[in-house]
Amino acid sequence: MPAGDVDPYGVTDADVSPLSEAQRADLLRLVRKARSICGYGFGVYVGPLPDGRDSAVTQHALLPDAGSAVLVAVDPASRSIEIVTGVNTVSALDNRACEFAALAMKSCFAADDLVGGLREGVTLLAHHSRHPMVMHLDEPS
Amino acid sequence: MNPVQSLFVFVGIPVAFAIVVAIAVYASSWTRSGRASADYEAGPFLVASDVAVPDPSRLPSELAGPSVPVAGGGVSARW
Repeated sequence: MPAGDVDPYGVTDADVSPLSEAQRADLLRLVRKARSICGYGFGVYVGPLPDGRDSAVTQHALLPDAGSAVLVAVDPASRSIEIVTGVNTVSALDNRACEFAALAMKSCFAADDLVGGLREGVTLLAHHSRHPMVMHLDEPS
Repeated sequence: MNPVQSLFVFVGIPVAFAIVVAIAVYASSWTRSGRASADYEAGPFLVASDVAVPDPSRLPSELAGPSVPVAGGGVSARW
């Protein structure tokens, strides 16, 4: 499978990732949980970002319904974090909230905890972008 | 207490205790994985959830057209 293609299970290039099977399953559970919290799609990318933010935006565009998705991209080699939000998520997830999530991730990454940092960041973003319950739209559910 | 017993009590037991403590301290870091070290040379990994839940507040015109930009914001950071 070419790099960046999303398979039906949401995992790509799993065979070349240094992450263990349990960690990959943990990340998949994480993005599904984040989607259930706020309703937006979530993606996590770990790998090289040669063009920095442009590479992250390219990866974000590969997500299904990218306009309503949030991508957390991490390049451990260059120690960079990119958070890309879709046009439909901006109203619920402003850049200040993204900065807060990036700060939490940085503290975990500084302690060499990649999966833990991703978990912190995605969970914070999901809770920040959670919309208030609306009668007749969210109830009954 | 003969010299061998003394050596065991005052050297052997403290050294064994120190080894046990060292193992207990370092064991968690041996089992921890997913390190974000700078020598990460593996290929890319992407995991994504399902598409977003349909939003009734979005107009149909906003639902169409992949030609419009999809990235609306975000931040960059380094550690």
